[in-house]
Order: sequence, then structure tokens, then C-alpha cells
Amino acid sequence: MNSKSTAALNLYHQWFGDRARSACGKTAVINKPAATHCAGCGATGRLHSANSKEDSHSFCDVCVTVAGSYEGIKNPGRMGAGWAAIITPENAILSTGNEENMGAFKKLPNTQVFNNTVQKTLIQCILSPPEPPLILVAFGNSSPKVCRQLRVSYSKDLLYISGDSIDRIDAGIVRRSVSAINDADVPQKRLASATSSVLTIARGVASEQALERAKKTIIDAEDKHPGITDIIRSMPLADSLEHRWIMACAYAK
Amino acid sequence: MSQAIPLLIEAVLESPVIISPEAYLTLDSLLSASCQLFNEDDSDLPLQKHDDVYHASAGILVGNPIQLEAPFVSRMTLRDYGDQRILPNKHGKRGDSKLVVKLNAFPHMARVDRYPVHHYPKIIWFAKGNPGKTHELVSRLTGVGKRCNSGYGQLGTISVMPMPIDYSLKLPDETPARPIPVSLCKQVGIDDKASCLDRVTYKPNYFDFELNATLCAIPTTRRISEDQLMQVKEVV
Repeated sequence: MNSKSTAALNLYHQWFGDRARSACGKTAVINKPAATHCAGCGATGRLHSANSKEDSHSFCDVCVTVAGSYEGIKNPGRMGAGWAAIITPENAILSTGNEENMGAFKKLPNTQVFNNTVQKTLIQCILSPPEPPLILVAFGNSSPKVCRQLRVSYSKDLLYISGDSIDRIDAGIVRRSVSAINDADVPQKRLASATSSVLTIARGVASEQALERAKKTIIDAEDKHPGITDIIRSMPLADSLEHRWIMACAYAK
Repeated sequence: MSQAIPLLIEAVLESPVIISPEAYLTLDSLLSASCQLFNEDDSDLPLQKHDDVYHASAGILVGNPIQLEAPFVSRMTLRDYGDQRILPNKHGKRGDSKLVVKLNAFPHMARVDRYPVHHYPKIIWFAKGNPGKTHELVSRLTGVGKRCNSGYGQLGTISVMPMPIDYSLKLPDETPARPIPVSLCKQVGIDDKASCLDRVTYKPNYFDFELNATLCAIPTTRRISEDQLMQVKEVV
């Protein structure tokens, strides 16, 4: 675990975890003595089981606030797959795909729980993020991984999505591109085919026939949506994370 | 330091480069690595300094890349086995199985790492310093980016060109050219409120996050087109 994650984990604990654990947490169970290290950060000392099961991972006082169980959350009792959180020093916005979990954290002030999918919550945060600093988490199946892979975003234009993996998104570019696509009202399929044609021509490593086809696709797209080539050129590389989020945000239903 | 002039360093990339978005490939980090490769003192790089910050931009990739993927097969190392999360010789439950490794396979257990790779024609840096010494130190590098010792990011012809304007801290598009601590932004004419901010390292050694990291305005212009490079050169 690197020091970037340690700093983020401590901020999560300070802004949200400590309060949440004391207001809504289940009683911690001291794990069996065989566990010597926290499964999240690797710390030694007092360890708790994430829930009452004997064979669960053990977590330290800090990591248990990320990975531990909370009253009101149904099986498996903790924030796992289907949960997303936007944590700032002032407030917390949580979302869950399961309506039965909505009652969790109701005792915690400045905390809202919504019934929403992870993808939609992330899209909302990318398009209109709260004032930084913030921690954006898409919880996954592995709670130790979430503890190890937390990141703090210090800018609205650069967002980290923590969770099973750490995604670093240039949110400023995503917002600008989404706004340009919405203004031009380009259908998803046409944008995708025009993007691949622009790439084919830019690389220049294709047969003459393929290059001709690509040129024709762009001419057709330009006829229907003037300025589409400029939009594509201003977008990030087609294999980048930002490109994926642009498509997700622009065509979210 | 004598002869500190604004520079444009241009290097041809002879092989695809593996570059993570969090690695800025600042020129000072490369010069420092070049010194350390030859057991030389890296405390006095041939670059001008503003407080703790070298006048050395992040690497800017030029042109349209060809995108590839590089799979690396490597052996599990002792360090992998020392990881607390790996449970040797234990049959995993559903969901845990990825972390279970049989120790009797050691040291022949294979691990595959996949990297996105980009083949750009060129990489450039802006700097302010001694052109001769800077050229010498850059020329000694085997390559740039991840896995450069395995043939990725190899540098070909390197040229150092004097520039009339110093773009090593602020690029012509007014964005930061390198990570600049927020406390220094005003002094170098960067609007920190309009910039992307992140807690990153800003001086060598760049891997030492504990010691050398602070909240910085980070560079956002990481690649430019050949035409944009020509425009910059036309200023000369």
C-alpha cells in the first residue's frame, strides 16, 4: 500500500468512516488470534472481523470503517458491489442499487442515501462534481482492495474513481466533449464510426480501399453533422478511459 | 549555473512507449535517473531552479499514436509471495481464488502484466539550462517510460534547440508545463484555480511520495500534433 492510498484512507476515516462506524456500525468482533495483519492496509495491532463470520478478513480500526458491516445493509452487510459513495469533508452522498439498503446511514447527519446504479452515480459526479477535495468510491466485491486503492481528488477536472481498480479521469475533457456532442446532437453509432475512420486516416497504416472507405464515412458524417471531425479531434484517444466515459456520459439513458 | 538558456529538446521515439497517466516524465526526473545510472551526483542538474522546482517540462508526445497492447510474462517473485493478501496453498472460496497461489510452483509460476502501448513519432521537453550538458545526460538514457529496459520507449536522434521564450514552467497554451506546487503557481504566472490539482511529487526523487509530494497544479497538455510543434518552432 503506497502513501497516496494511506493518506486517502485516513481522510475517508476522518471525513466519514469514524462517524459512520460510531453512529451506524455493528459491534466490532475481535477476530481469531491467527490474524496478524489488517487485510486492507497491512497494519498490525487491534483487528476486527468485517462481520460476525469467523472466516472473514480482519481489518484495523481504520479499514474496518470501509470494509466493515453496517446496520441496515442486507447481505453481505457491508458496502460492496452496487454501492457508490461521494465523500467530502462536509457531507456524504451514497448510492445503492438495492432499495432495501436505503435505511442505512439514516442516523448519520449530512449523509444522503439514494437508490441508483453505480454507473449513474459516477456519471452524475463526473458531469457535476461537488466542491473538492472529494473521495469517489465504486465499491466492489473485494473490500481489502477498496481499502488499499482509495484516492482523493483535489480538483473538479481530475477525478479518481477508487474501488477494485483506480481510474484516473480527466473530467474536464470529458465534460467539454460531452457538451460538444450534445450540442451537435450526434447519434452514438455515427460518432463511433466517424471516430474509427478519423483514426484510420490519422495513422495511415491501412489499405487504399480502407482509407477510401474511411474518407467516405467522414464526408457522410460531416454532411449530416457539420463539425463532427473537429469534435472527434478534440476528444482523447479512442482507447483511453476518458473516451469511454465520454461515450457513457453523452449517451447515458 | 552558467549558460542557462531556454531550450526545446526533441527526441525521436524508435519504439512504442508505455506511459501511465500519473507519470509525467519530467526532464529533471530523466536527467536525475541518467546521473544515478552512472553513480553520479544528481543534486546539481544542468537546469535552472525556481525554489525547489526545476525549469524542466513534462514529456509531451507528438503526433498521432498507433495503439497496441504489450503483454509481459514474468515469474512470481519472492516479493509477490511476501504479500499478506496471497494465501499460499489454501483452496480459495468463491471470489478469493485469484489471491491463492501454490507455493510448490515457485519459482516457475507465471504472471502476466498487460500494458497499453502507444507508438508516437516523437517526444519533446521544454527546459531552461545548459544545452550541452542536458544533451549529454539525455543521450545516456536507454529509453523513457515503463519497461524501457525491455526495449520500449527507446530514444533515437536527440536534438537540443535554443528558444527565445522559456516554456519550461508554462506552456504557450497557458497550462502548467510540469507539476508546480500551488504555493509557487502565482510566482510563475499559473492560475491554480483554473488548473487541475493533485497531490504529486514535483522534484527528484519522484518515487519518494512521502518526502517530495505536495498539492500541485499538474500538466494537462500531454500530447500535441506535428502542426502545433511546427508553430512552436516557428517562434524561433
